[in-house]
Amino acid sequence: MHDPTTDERLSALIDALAELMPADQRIDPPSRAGPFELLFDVDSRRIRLICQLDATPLGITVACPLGPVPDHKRGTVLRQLLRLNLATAWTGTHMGCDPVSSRLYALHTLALDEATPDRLHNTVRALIQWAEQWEEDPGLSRLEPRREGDGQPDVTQLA
Amino acid sequence: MAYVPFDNTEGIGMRCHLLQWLDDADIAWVPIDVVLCIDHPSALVAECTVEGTAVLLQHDLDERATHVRATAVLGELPPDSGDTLLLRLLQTNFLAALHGHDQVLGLRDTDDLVCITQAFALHDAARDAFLMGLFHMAGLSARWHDGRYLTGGGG
Repeated sequence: MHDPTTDERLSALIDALAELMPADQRIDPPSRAGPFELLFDVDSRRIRLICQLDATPLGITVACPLGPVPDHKRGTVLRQLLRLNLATAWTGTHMGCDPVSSRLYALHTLALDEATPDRLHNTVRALIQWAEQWEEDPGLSRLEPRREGDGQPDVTQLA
Repeated sequence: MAYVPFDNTEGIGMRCHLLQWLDDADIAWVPIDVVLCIDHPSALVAECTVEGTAVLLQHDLDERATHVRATAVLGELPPDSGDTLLLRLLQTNFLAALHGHDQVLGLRDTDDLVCITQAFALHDAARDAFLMGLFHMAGLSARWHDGRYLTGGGG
C-alpha cells in the first residue's frame, strides 16, 4: 500500500466532486497527468479548477467568473473589490482579474491537504453565490460606505 | 447535558509555535487585542515589527487554529495612479491564485492603504515558510515605498 501520488489524489478528488454535481453537469477528469486546468459548467457558469503541481504548499484554486470590469464607476468598483478582499480574506475567498480576458473572478484556494470533495463542492457553490450577487449589484453599491444623512429623504429631489 | 469545555489543545500548541518562532527570530511583538470566549482566550491579534515594517498577526483558536493570518501595509495608492494600478492589484491576485498562492492584495477600508495578507501554517515543519513569508512581506512594503512594486522600476 503506497501513499497516493498527487495525481492520484487529484483524480480521486475530481471523481468525487463529479459525483456531487447534478447529473447534467458533467466533469471530465483530466486526460493526462501533470499540472492541469479543468473547466466545467455549473449553472451556466464556466468554473476553472487549477492546480500547479510545482507550488509549495500544493493548492487547488477554484475560479468563478463574475463578468467584465464595468465601465460605469470603474474606479469605485475596483476599490470596493479590493476593500472586500481584505474583509473576506479570512474566508479564503477573494477577487481578482484575469489580465488576458479582463474578466473579474471570485477565487478560492484550498490547500490540497485540506481539500475534500465536500469542501470543493461547497466552495464552488459559494463562489457561484458571489457571482449571482455580483450580477444583481455589479457596482457593489450595497458595500459603499454610508454617507452622513443616508436614510433621510433627499429634500432636493422632492420639489 | 453536561457542559464540555472546548478542547483547544491543538490550537494552543500552534500558538506556542507562533510565539516561539517570533522569539527565535528576534521579532518583537505586542498584543493589540485578545478575544475572550466563554472559557478561554480565543483570538490573539498582535503586531510585530519585521525590518521596520509593521505586520499584523491574527490567530484564532476557534477558527482554523492551524494557521495564522499575517497582514502588512504596503502603502498609499499614488495619487496619479488612476484605475490602472487598482486593476493591476486585482490581476496580481488572479495570477497568485492560479499559482496556488493565497496571498491577497486589498485596500484597508478605513484609509484605502494597500495591504497584503496571507495565511501561514503553524505546524512543526512550517517555521521557515512562515518566517520567510514575514520577511517577504516586509520586502514588498519596502519596494512599495520605493515605488518599485508592480512598476518594475528601480531594479
